Amino acid sequence: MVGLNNLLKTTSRKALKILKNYNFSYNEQWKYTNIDNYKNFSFTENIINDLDNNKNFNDNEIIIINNILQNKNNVYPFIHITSINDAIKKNLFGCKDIFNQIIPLDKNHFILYNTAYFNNGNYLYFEKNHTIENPICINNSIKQKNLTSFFNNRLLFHFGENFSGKIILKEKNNHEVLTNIVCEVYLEENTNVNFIIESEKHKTTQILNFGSTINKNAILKIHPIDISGKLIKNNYFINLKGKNSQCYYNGLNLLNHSNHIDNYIEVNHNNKHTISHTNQKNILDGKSKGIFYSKATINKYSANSEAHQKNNNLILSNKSIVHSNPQLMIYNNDVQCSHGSSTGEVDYDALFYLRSRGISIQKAKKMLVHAFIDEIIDTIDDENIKNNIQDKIYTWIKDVN
Amino acid sequence: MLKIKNLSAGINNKTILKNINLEINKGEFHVIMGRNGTGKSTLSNLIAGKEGYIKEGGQLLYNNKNLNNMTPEERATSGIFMSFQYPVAIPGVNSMHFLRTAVNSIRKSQGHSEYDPAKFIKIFKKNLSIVGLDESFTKRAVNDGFSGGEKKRFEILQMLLIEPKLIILDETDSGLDIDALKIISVAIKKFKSKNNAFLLITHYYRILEYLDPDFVHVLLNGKIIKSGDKKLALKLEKEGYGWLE
Repeated sequence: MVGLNNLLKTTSRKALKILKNYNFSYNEQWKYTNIDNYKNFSFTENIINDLDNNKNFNDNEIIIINNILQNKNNVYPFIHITSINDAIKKNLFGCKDIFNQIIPLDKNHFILYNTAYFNNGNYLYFEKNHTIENPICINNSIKQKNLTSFFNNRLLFHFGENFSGKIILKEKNNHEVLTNIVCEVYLEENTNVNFIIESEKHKTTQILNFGSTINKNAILKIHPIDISGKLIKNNYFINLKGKNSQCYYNGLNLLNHSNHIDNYIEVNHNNKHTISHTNQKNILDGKSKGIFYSKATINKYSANSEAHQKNNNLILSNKSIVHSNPQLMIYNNDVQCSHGSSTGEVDYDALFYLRSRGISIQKAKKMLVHAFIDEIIDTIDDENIKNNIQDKIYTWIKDVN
Repeated sequence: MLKIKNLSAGINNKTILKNINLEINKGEFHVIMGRNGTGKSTLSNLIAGKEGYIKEGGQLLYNNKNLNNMTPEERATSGIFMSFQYPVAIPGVNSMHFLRTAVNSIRKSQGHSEYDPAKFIKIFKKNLSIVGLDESFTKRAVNDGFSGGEKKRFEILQMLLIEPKLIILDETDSGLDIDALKIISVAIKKFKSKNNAFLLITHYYRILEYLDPDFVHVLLNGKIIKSGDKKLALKLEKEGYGWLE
């Protein structure tokens, strides 16, 4: 805790205290992801200083490696990037009131560990009253030397009133890493944020806790695109706090070999006229395992709200496994809700239809796989991002038989 | 072109077609009529190569080649086309992209050059107007949200673009209004030539008012029990199938 300001020290001690009496249990949220192998791993940081292998960073990207900002942000003057420690010390843009307030500490023991052993992280403030057409790219990666401890990664995004823009959070690790990420996203009133998470982590073991507080008239659109992962456990906690706040989650997971991706999405409707759409699509090949567990709660003060959940899984191998559980908890009568889930192979009738027109079975299958994916890709409101993601996905699909 | 000799076939361990004999030559237009469940669609699916339909005996030859050994795509590239009775909706697959892929696959297999997107869009739009579909169909997904009539028009559009040699029309006239029936019939008639052949499966005489079939066959209980010309279809329309039993 050396160098941390008082608030961070206090928060860290608080987390440590809860941890002492915290018993991890495989509750609904963790039912299908076994983390026993990692229980004895430490969460203290193994900081690597030799990050100088590539200093030629793309100026259009904000580069963060191991919690450390690598380049000066000259491109986006309306974004203020500071270490969380400094930001809280100076209480920049009122960040003291939001740090650690977005996801309740005791949601799971990984958040507690991330907070208890907090060392560094980045606070990104997006100035109010800005409308940005071009996407803002943030490259957040992790390098680790020894794999006996989780690397704690922390990001705090704060969008000022009336901000509107697209953020691409790129996370790519080609080597083996163990990460424990806490990403908090705070949307002030009337903001409209498109959050695209491009994740390519073939060898990564990751626990992500992503939380967002969405205030009055604010809209958050999240597009998590996970292309493979050794063991990925993503927890999303969405708090629709303000009246007319909305969240649209459109996720896509591509799994092969023995990949394991587990998504838990919790949406809490805490005000009137709030809307949530949760749509997750997975393609599974090899011996992979995909888990979708979504829980939307509409509380009794949230009249005229809407919650919709959908999960579709396309299975390409008879050794892949899917667990799907869309859940609605409704405590108000004046609401619109729906949920559904489907899991199956490529539609045989559609495949025959295409083949009967002279299209080879391989090409026809790929067309159907593309079609399955495109519903999610089409929700991304930017042609360049869409094309870029499509290219990556199509490269992945090349191996589909 | 198509020779069916003593064909018996079925699905799910149930024999549906019993000892069928039928020969379709270039330039001919054949019609099969019959009650529901008599095996008409079994025959068309068997020719198109749908999985699950099992040939139990006899021969199914196309240009003297055994169809049994050919995949659905091989049958298509060699000139067989089936207009589906219930065309399947494929959300996410763009109609024009699908058809360009299909047409180019077939052209490639026949040694012709492939159409580039610009050229294909022109041909696609021209044929859309022939079957009475508007240009919005360039952007729509295959059969997704199409009305019953639009689906059937889209099948005929595919026939016009793919230019097959043996065309099986499985109840293409069902679910069409009078105007749509006329448009489709005119398109079929225009496409008919001495180099291709048709097998139309229908329940109604009305489409035959526009087309001039050479042969009309009656399929009952898995057997072709009578063959004749257009007059036979008219008699069936008036009197039903009872007199044949």
